[in-house]
Amino acid sequence: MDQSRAAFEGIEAAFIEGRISRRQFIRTSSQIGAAASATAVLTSLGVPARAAAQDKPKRGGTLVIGKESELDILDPHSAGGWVTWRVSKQMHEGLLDEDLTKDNVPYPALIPKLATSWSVSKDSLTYTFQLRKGVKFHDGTPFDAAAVKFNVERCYKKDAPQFYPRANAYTTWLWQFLKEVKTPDEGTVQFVLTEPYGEFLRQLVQGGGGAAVFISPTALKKYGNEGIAEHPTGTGPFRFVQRVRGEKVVIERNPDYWGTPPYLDRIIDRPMPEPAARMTALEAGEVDMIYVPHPDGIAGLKDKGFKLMQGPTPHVWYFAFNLRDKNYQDVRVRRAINMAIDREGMAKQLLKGTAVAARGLQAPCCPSYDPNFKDYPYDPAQAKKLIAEAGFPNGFETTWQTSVDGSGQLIPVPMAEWIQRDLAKVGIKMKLRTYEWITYIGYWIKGTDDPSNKVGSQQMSWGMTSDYWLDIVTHSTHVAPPGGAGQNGGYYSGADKLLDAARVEMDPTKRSALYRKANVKIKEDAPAVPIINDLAPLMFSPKVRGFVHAPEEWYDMTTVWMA
Amino acid sequence: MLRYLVYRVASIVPVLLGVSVVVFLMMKLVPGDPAEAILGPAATTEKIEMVRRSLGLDKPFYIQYFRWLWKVLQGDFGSSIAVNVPVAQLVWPKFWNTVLLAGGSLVVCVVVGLVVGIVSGTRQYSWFDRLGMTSTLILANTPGFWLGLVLMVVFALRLGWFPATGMYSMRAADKTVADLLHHMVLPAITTAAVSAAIIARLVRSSFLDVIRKGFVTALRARGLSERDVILRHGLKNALPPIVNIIGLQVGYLMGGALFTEVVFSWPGIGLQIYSSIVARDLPVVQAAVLVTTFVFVLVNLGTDVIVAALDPRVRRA
Amino acid sequence: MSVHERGLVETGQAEPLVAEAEMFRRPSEWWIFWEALSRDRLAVAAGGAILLICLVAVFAPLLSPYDPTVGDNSLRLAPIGTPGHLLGLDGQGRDILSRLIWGGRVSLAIALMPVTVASVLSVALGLIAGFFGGKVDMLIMRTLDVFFAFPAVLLAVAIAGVLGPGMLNVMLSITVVLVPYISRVAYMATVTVKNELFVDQARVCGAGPWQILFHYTLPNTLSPVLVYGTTLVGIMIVLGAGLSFLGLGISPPTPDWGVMCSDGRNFLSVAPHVSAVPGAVLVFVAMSFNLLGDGLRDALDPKLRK
Repeated sequence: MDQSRAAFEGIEAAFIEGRISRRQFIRTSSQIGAAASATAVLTSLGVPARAAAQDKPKRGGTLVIGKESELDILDPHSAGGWVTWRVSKQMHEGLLDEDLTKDNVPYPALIPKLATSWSVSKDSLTYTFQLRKGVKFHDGTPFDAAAVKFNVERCYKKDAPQFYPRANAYTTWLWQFLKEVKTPDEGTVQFVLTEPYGEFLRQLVQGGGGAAVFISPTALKKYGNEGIAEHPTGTGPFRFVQRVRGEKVVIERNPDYWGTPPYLDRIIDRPMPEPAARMTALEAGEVDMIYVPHPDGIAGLKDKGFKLMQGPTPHVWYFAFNLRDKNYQDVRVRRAINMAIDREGMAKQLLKGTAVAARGLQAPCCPSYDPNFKDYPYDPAQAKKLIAEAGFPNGFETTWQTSVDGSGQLIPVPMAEWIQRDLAKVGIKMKLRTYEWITYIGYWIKGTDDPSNKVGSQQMSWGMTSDYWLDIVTHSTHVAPPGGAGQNGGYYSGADKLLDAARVEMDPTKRSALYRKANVKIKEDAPAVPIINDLAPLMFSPKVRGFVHAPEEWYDMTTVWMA
Repeated sequence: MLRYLVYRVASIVPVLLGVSVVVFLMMKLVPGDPAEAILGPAATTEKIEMVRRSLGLDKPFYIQYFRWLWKVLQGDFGSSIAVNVPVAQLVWPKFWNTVLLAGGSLVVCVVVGLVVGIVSGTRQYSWFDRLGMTSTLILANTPGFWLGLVLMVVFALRLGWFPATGMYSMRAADKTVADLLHHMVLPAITTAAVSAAIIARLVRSSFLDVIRKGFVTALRARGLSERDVILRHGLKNALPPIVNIIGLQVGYLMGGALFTEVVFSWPGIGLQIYSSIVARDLPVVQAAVLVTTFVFVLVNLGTDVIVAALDPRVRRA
Repeated sequence: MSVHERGLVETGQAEPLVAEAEMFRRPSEWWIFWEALSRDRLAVAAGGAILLICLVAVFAPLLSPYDPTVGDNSLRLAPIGTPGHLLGLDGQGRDILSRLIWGGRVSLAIALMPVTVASVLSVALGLIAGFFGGKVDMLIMRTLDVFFAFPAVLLAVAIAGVLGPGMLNVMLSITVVLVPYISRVAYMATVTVKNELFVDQARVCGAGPWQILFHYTLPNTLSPVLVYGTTLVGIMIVLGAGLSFLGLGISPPTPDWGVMCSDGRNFLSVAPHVSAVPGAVLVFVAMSFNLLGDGLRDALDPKLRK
């Protein structure tokens, strides 16, 4: 077991230092995982080998986590951001879930949660779920089909009494094709769609921007749409204890949980926006675990015995071009820019291995993600040639924009400045415009060609373990107003046909193939420049065991225990 | 005395109004559209117009000001943009945490300042005096954030005597006073350092002044004990400027506490202002500045009244 | 009289700063002032240190051993005394001494510019209010009273925060905070001089109000403002660094002493020198301005001259 641990640590180190790519890491780690037992791989990710062999998980203990920002409201239908979802998810469950106990898989598998089985009708329009029996919400209300219907209608049915516009805004992609919810009996629920939606099931397990989980109808009626955020009531393995804004959120083990109970007694989340403060608190033992350690401080903490854990996540940091800008209308220019940027350099030197160079626009950790995807090579000479061929022998001037911070944005300004330097080398003078995060979203949403927001390119970072995400960021119906919600604002429609076909394809293999084709088309048309995939580093004290960094942006805390 | 009291109390009303105008105008300086900031990803042109109208942003400035003032007087500071809760809910608990820290710091700086100042003042040119004056000179010029970091490295991280962050232990089931005091030691020393140095120097020079003026010799000649001379007569005469400077220091403590709170993650209003500035959550910044300034004005009022009670010359001015 | 009307200064001087005004009756008293100042060795030393630091900042491109923004990753966090890097390197492998030298430009500018601009504005305001008295006096002084009501640090942070990041915004915010304090000093000096006998004498001799303003009042207002301003520079160096520490000042990679302290927070245990060194420099420079200010005040105060 020590041998495989050493081997694993070797490739882990190589991966973190950028010497091997993510796909090599996944492949090799799977091989090692197959050679050793699953427990060994798990423990070698975060636990000293000596302890792993003898220690058995212990019940009890409080885990204190230092988070990178304050949480949004604890209403899972109406809140955004992974920071909040990581807590809400412990308290609320949906029909399906992702298996987050396995870290050596390319993407998480779908497992039953509150639904024990499901089937899709022949016309692909009706999904029937058999509900688990004997499940209760934290306030004792029984979970049944009526509860499911009540929750879903809160999010999509405008004339329902419990309808909540904010929830509706956040869960648009989930329920966009939903016609009605039927409850043939209290143990069965049916969703009837208006058209086939291949990624529907994977969309049901997403979080971080409205989620398809269930809140107790009794609690919703009692506290109202606004008040429920102060009294989250789900069916999950943890239940809400207390929240002091800006200080902590406390959740505790649910003693009446229907499934395998967690080991931990309590989890306390402490928002600590300052990376230095987080790391100090970890070092002083005042927190057990922190998210987003500053890349510069990681080595120091590791020397003191703290563990770093990171891995592939569905996260893409990218710039989308304004295709109405005269500079970017020739595809050669866009391809050239893709070749001009040294992504590996940025990942290694600037981000110190806490991220890897992106390969294609599709987010990692979704079924159609291709680890063998051939993206543009880093070739500034060729880039310069292409730009000259496209009619800009002396380059051109352009303005790009990004935010100065924000959830998942990593360190946007230094990264943008790195890109600025790379572009200068091929003759493009890029002027950088920056805004604070919330202001930035206001501008980003308008698209790149709005009179009040004319830029050559703007940056965003997010992703999902669902292939449909590619559609959200590149389909022309999602372009800026007047079209829709404005997700990429670049005015690209080249992949629409493939994306439309993929959207309604129910066969997973065929669907993946279509999304892959779309991804290739998107690469060829280059409406965007994917730069980086974050590895979501986190650090914890050696006392924390059983933590799994699955290929997702949030975690299953029921496997965690304190030594 | 009563006349002075009435005059002083009456004079703070225009000041408070002026403060409210300044705070209101400060928010108008902000670049960017508040409606867009609130709507975030859901913003479209009609929604923006709707939010602007609901916020009253389409009305002229002075109407916006009076509306805002009316709400503030009722305790309604609006809603936080970043976390979607009433600002008052965020601000008040944090404010009391800062009061606790400022209170602890005040105790430290007054005690240390008085002791060092009196001993130095009555033993001029002794080794204690020289040491005291050098260290107060250095401390008075020390940035609070840097001192905090130094204390944290030495006493929290290296020696482990005190906690490095926060107000209470996260793991403890109950909040105890002992826990609070344990967490308060380093932040209080950090916040109090500059003020303690200033008070020490002032106390010393006031005492030297008093001694020079000859009281002390006369009193000694009449046979009073050293302790009596110092404590009853020397202190009484030196007191007005001392109380004055202590009152001024309260303002510095509340401002200086901001840096301490950021370094030690003390959940006070300074840290809240800082996080809200970073998050561009300006309604919170506005409310926090207003509340803190209001209290500062009241504290100054109190100090002036005490000084006037002690020193008749002030009342006549 | 309120606390502020008694002209309190951050250094703890309880006396109104009016005594200085008595001094400049005749131009020939300048040499008395210089003689007094040069006898104060501490102040001279402080003045010398400040001059040296300013020269270093001005000649930064010539004196700095390395580029302050380029880092050598293999040497990151190297301690003090590393060969070739006297003060060690920071988290990005950048030479700390070079960053200190270049950073001096920013840190000194953040203090000197606002104090200078605020002093000019304040002298004007104080003169107008003090000299013309009446309604003008009330208007100006009452408005300044409102700004006095804010705790200074809080106001600076709030204005800088609201305006957004950038050196200009920081300087603007510090200027706004300083004007009330310096205006007070200028005002008090003006009022005192106005009531002096020699001004009445000048009026009797036929001097017009503008003449009195410029020939008598202005010079007598300048000296207390100069003293106060010097001490203020020391305090503003610390406050400016504080604002940079909070991220409200210049944007990276431009160095500044406050930002250097903040950068070092990520490695406090492993490499404390990254934060400790710029902080120590701040203390030293602020102290020098403070001592110089004290020296100026003592040299100008007739009571302390033997």
